[in-house]
Amino acid sequence: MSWLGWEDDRTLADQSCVIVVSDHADEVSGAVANNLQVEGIPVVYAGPGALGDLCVHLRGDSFAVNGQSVGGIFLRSSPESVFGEGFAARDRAFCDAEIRAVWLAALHLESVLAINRYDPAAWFEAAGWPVWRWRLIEAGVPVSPFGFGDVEVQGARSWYPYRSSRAQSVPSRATRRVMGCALAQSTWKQVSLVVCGHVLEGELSSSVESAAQLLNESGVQIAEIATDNDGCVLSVNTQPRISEARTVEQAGQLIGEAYRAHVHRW
Amino acid sequence: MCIVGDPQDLSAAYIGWLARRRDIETLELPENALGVEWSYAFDDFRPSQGYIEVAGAHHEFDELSGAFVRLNPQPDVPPGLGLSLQERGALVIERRNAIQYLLNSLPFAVANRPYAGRSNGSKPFQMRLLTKAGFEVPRWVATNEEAVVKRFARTCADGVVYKACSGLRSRVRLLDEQVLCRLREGTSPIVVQEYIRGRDVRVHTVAHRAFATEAISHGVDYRFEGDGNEFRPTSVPRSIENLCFQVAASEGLTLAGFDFRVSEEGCWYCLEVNPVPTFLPYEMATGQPIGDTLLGLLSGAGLP
Repeated sequence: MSWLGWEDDRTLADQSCVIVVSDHADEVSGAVANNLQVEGIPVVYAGPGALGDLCVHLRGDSFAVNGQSVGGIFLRSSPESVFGEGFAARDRAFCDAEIRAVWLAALHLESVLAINRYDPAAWFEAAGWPVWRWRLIEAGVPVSPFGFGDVEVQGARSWYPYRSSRAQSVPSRATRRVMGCALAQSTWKQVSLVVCGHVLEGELSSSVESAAQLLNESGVQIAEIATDNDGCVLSVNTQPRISEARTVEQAGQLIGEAYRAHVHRW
Repeated sequence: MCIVGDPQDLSAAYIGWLARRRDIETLELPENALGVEWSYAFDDFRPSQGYIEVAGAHHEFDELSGAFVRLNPQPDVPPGLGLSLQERGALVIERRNAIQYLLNSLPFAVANRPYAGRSNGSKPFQMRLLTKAGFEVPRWVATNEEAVVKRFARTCADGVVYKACSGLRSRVRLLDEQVLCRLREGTSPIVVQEYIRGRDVRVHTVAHRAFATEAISHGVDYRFEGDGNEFRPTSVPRSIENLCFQVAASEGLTLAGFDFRVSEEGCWYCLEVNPVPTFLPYEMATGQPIGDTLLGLLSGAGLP
């Protein structure tokens, strides 16, 4: 394992590697990498900003990075991360879009197990709570009542900015009108952390189970699902911070097992 | 019906003009005037009970028939808010997300909802989607490695073109030394695709109506050839038309623009599907009633 750049990758074994896209600080990424290394599966770490430094080659159903076939991608960074930090400022926005386009396609190859795998709508909407809320409603999963825009604030407890999963205090009416704010009428009661279909923290209520199933069908294997007093889903965070040692270890094992099974099967 | 986003956009202005000519009541909802000239309120459990308020008048969602959307990439903020640059940026992002959520939730036809056709943001992703749907797609590779490009190009008898991987507008060019040099020096990935000798055809779909236009040009990418292009209506095989309808529906696109290269042997190669197609040049040149058809759908009058 190496941090980007790696050892001369073209001499690595033919076995498919798993690319871990995350910041150094993410402990789950470290646990997953350790699990795979024990099995002899090559792992390549790359910070999101360094994806543009990699040589990529996508054709048909195969994806190669620095000359090595890719069997899995562990994406722990937000889809709205800056992926082309190495490019000159004037080129960055364009290069970023180009890199993002290739990696989105790579995440969807049958030959690549991607965790989390975001579809284009989720990917280009930064995988925030709105995209999941909208899908949960369509699927009939109970969600907390929200009001949008210039709604009556009676009963509204908090404001959920569209690009954040953190509740804020309800803003003034003028702000709500100008920004079309989303207001929740309830507050969260508990948070469940779901990894590869297992609840590692919190409860497995029926709404959490339904939400986890829908997320799984959308390619999301790691998510924090917040529910309210009525058991309704309040928000979904697909980039949860996981730091409790036991949870990190369990998540590492579950995700590592998923990659092992995929790489060996493929 | 409503026109949402940027009323100055040519397509939006045209749809508005068509609506006025037909005495169809239209609400203009500029993105930069949200909260000042208009506002809205709804509950996404019961979106039919929501409303839009324009100049003090309430319009229930139930009374509205459709929305035409064109969003400006760089929308302004209302004057007089006294915001710092950072605050303006935050407002623009939050407001854009709010409008997107509104458009995704409206209980009537929208051309197009923001979630629709997002596959266009990644050509490699979309070309695989088009292939799976049953279209012929010219062979391609996405890479930033010169050796890979050269190897692939050697397998294509009629040469290759290169283009952007993302949905950003960029010119399609025949492979040249300039791009090979850029690849040698290190750059972002490009799509390199087999060049198909033949003609360009754009097919616009509005629900289950298709309008095919042949673009006659002497360049590789007719969109960048300026006044030298000639457009004329053409026909499209029923099987291709049906595939267009299927893909547009599965992508949630009320209005879509499919780009084809039709080979000298008559094979229809699909290049991409555009979720924000500029249909005006095609309509102006051929007289095809794309705008009227769209208006019929969005105003509730029905397809002509």
